[in-house]
Amino acid sequence: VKNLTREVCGVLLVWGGVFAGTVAAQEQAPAAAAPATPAAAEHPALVFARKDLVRWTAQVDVAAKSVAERQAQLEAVMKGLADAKAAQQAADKAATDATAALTAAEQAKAAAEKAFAEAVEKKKAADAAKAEADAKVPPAEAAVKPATDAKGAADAAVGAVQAQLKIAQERVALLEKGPIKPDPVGARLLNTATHDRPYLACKFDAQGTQVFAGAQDNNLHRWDIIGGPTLHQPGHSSWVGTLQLIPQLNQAIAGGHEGKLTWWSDLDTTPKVVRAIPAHKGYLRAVAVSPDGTLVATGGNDNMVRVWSAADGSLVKELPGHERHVYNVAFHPSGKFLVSGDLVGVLKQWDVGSWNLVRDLDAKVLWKYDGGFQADVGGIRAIDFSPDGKLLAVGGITEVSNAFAGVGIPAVVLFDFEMGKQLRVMKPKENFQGSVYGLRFHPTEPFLVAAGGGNGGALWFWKFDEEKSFADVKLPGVAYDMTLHPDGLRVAVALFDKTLRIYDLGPKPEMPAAAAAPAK
Amino acid sequence: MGAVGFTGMTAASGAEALAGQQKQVVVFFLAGGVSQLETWDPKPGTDTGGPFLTIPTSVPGTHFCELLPYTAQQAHHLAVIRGVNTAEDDHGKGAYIMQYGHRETPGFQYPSLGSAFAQQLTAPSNPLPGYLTINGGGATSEPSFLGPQFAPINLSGTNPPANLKLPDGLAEEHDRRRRELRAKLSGRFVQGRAKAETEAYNGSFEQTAQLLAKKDVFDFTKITEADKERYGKGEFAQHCLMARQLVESGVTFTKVTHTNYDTHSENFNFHIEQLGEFDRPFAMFIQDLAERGRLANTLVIVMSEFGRTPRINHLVGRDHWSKAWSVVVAGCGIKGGAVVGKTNENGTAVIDREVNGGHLFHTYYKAVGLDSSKAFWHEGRPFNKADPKTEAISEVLA
Repeated sequence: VKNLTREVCGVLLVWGGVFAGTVAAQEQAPAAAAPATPAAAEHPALVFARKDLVRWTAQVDVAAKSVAERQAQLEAVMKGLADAKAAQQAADKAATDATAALTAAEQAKAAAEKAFAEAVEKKKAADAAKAEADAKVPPAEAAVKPATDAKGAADAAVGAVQAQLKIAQERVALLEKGPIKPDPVGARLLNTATHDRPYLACKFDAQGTQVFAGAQDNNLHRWDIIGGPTLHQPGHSSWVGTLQLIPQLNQAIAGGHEGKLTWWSDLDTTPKVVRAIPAHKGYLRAVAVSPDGTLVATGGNDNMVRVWSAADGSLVKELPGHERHVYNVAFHPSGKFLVSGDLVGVLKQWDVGSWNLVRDLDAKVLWKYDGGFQADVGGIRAIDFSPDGKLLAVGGITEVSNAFAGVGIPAVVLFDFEMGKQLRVMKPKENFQGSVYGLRFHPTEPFLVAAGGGNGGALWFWKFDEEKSFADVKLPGVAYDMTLHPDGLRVAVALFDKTLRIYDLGPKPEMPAAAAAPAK
Repeated sequence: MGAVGFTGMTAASGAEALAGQQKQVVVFFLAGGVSQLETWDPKPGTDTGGPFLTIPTSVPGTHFCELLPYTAQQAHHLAVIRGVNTAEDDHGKGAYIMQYGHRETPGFQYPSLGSAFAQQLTAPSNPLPGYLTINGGGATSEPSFLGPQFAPINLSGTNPPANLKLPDGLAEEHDRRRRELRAKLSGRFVQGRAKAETEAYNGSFEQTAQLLAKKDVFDFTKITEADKERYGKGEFAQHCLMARQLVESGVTFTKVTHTNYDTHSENFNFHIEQLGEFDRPFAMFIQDLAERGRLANTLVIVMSEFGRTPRINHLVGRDHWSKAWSVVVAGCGIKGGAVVGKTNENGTAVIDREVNGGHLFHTYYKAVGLDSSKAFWHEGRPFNKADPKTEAISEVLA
């Protein structure tokens, strides 16, 4: 195309030269010939030729214009081409550059991701370390108070032990001067053992160094009252509500609300069950040991009294007769009689050996059928013989006005046992609502002590010939049992407030307040 | 023991014969608030569990307190709802929720469950009163706007309703003529005066006459010695036998009250005594109804106004506790052996499927085939039979 264009242009240029000369001649000729006479008519061929020339001249202009346009287009195309080439080169370069940049960026990204992951790991590790450190602070802080408390308790315990030591020294000094008598009016707290369940029963051992107890759990508890730990030994599947010691066998015997009777040995080390028998259907409510340690009597919710061999657990005798739950049993100090008492205040005296029913005694003042609630309330909740065997006392609740709220008056019914005659009904000197749950005759002095509660707890002390107590000692919780120390100067109570507490009935010494601090 | 004292039809033939009969209801209301821990939801070994052990029941995996040995053998007929929270520790208000399905509303009284079911379940042809109570516990106000004809008739002891016997010297023929004269006079009086009061007034005479005609229903001397032996001693045993006779006679709704369980002091001793009265007769009642084919058409409910506190107080009692306690249902429309709802380890809170009085009422209605979503209408206003925000406890429905 380029060559053809060049040739066409060349031809046109040649023709252009010829035409230019001719035209110039023509344009000059008329001016020179104008004055002349009209020229002779030109040869037609010339005319034609001139016309052709004019037309060709026009065509040359057209062609030249076309050539110019094409030239311009060509130049534009060439420029476009050049631009495209340049753009291509630029794009090539940009692509190359971008590829290089991408490669660099990928490398940078990989490095950054690696660095990020490392940073994340470092952060995690740091967080974990912080959390670990944070976690150590609260326990450490929390440990401060127990440690402080423990230190305080240890300090208090030292104070308590020192106080007890002082009391013991004073007691020895006093006794070295001669016998002393208990003074219930001045009774005061001597020592306390705490637990996580309310206590139900308690008994001093013959040496007076330990208190064995039952509670609202399935254990036999042993408290060494001279600072030793309190042991909680499992052996029942329900609450242990009654227990006694068998000094002749150095064993304890306990009754549970599931009806099981258990014998315990190793009392001075770690008590363990040596024998367990299903003694009653329903609660085993009471257990008593004969004075010679050979017989064990029990009473329970199957309305039965049963007598067992203390040595081997064999059934000696079953004593039917009660029509309601048997709440208590006690051997006469002579060992000749057994007395049992039930929910409705019926006492039955049995002859030990023949096991004949000797007689019934009436303590129905300790029972009421509450028509409003349609239920029986009361019963023989506590029982004991005087050491000489002449008196029998039973305790419980009387004058009940609301059975289901436990509203009534604690009472002890005193019998002349030989005559089988009720002597009097004894009540607290101060207004009190509740029941007696435990009682004991003092081993040497002419009074008896009972423990119980309702609206609070209390110890009451009665002389045998008085209906009103001569001393009432307020307790911090309802007492469900009590036991006298062999020295006759201390009484322990099993309280609902989850404590066993010992009260001193001896002459009052100087008592630091720390003495009342709980023992561990 | 199951067949002792059972006379007449066999269980299967009885069920067939009685199929399609009217639905009946017996409520055992253990007044004062029975302890859920000493009955249906024991927690032995915990600090709240008390001294009693558990015993297996006739439903594998379900245990009751050991104080219910006879009832435990009927557990396959019972559905235990252990997640009841009625949030009301007052005796009166709690009892209202349980028997009326709602909290008390000042100035308005809903019909009681007994009155409502007496109205809705008693066939027009049934001449007997629709609602009877044994050992008290019924009030004349119970029907509210349903009308006094649905009030409970109280039976005292083992006696028939008061004045069921004609006065001495009045022969039955004389009584009939006397009643005809009264009806004539009354018919003249009500002309142009027909009102609810006059209808109820006349209805009471008609009901009395019908009662007189069916007075044998209340002759409880027919109960055999064998049955008495089987049900055991005590008033509640007699009351259960009376309830059985009333069910078999076609009484729609019977409420037996056993009292009292309000054991703020010596909870365990008193529950031994009260549940000792309850256990055997109740179990015999369930067994008899089942064997005689009656249980399929009789809804039995054991309820109180609330339960008792898991915490054992200083008097070894338990106090009022409505936040987590149990209700038992059996019989008509009920899936025997079901246990629904759960309380936590020591029974202080419901931790699964908590329900209240509304749920229970929907359940009762559905069990006997009634629609609890249809309100009562009174003076142009609707009154819900049960809380519409609650629904039936489907897990105990058959």
